[in-house]
Amino acid sequence: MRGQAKSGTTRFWTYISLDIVQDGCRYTLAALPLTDKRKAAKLVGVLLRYAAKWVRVGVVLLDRFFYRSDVIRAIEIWAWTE
Amino acid sequence: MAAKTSRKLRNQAERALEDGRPCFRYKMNPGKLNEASFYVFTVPVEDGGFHYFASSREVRGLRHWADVYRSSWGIDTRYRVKRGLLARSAMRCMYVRLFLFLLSVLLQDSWELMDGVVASRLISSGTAVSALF
Repeated sequence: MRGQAKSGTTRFWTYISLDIVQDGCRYTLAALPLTDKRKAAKLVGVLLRYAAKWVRVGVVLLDRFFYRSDVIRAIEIWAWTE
Repeated sequence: MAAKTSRKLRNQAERALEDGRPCFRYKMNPGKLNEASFYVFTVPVEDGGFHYFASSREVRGLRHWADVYRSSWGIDTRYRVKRGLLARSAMRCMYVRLFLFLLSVLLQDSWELMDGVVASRLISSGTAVSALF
């Protein structure tokens, strides 16, 4: 994906990762490559469904990158179906 | 989720704060196909500014939820900051890179998990541990 220039390049490999936060510890459960911003919503849905298989999801915390309407709708759809 | 601040969001937050409502309903892309509606809550910070968070539910106890959100800080930073954490590669194959990324993360998580288990056992047994690097 394209990003702000760093170390002589503007193209970067990006991953979307699913982490659990419990008692101050953070562990990565899964990661997927992100090739296009527009695919973020689909991948968030995939990761949430995967997480729900293994752990009880209390709160979903996302960073600023995911502040997009399609991601918000994907989370809402996942919450309804769970 | 941390909200990206736009002029519209900031104006609406200011109006809501004037009304004494730090949490208010917000519509993103109103009237469009990708319209989304959610709550935004405003948390004041020490330098006089505000942090804005988007939430699916109306939030009470803003400070508590800001602290919950804070617990997730450092997840992506640790990939960037700890230089030795990620395997370095010039491979252009996405699958090889993903494999190396996951392997690095798995090793790091195992280390942290073991570190936590050992530390809790030592603390419960009353053993004092010190290390000099």
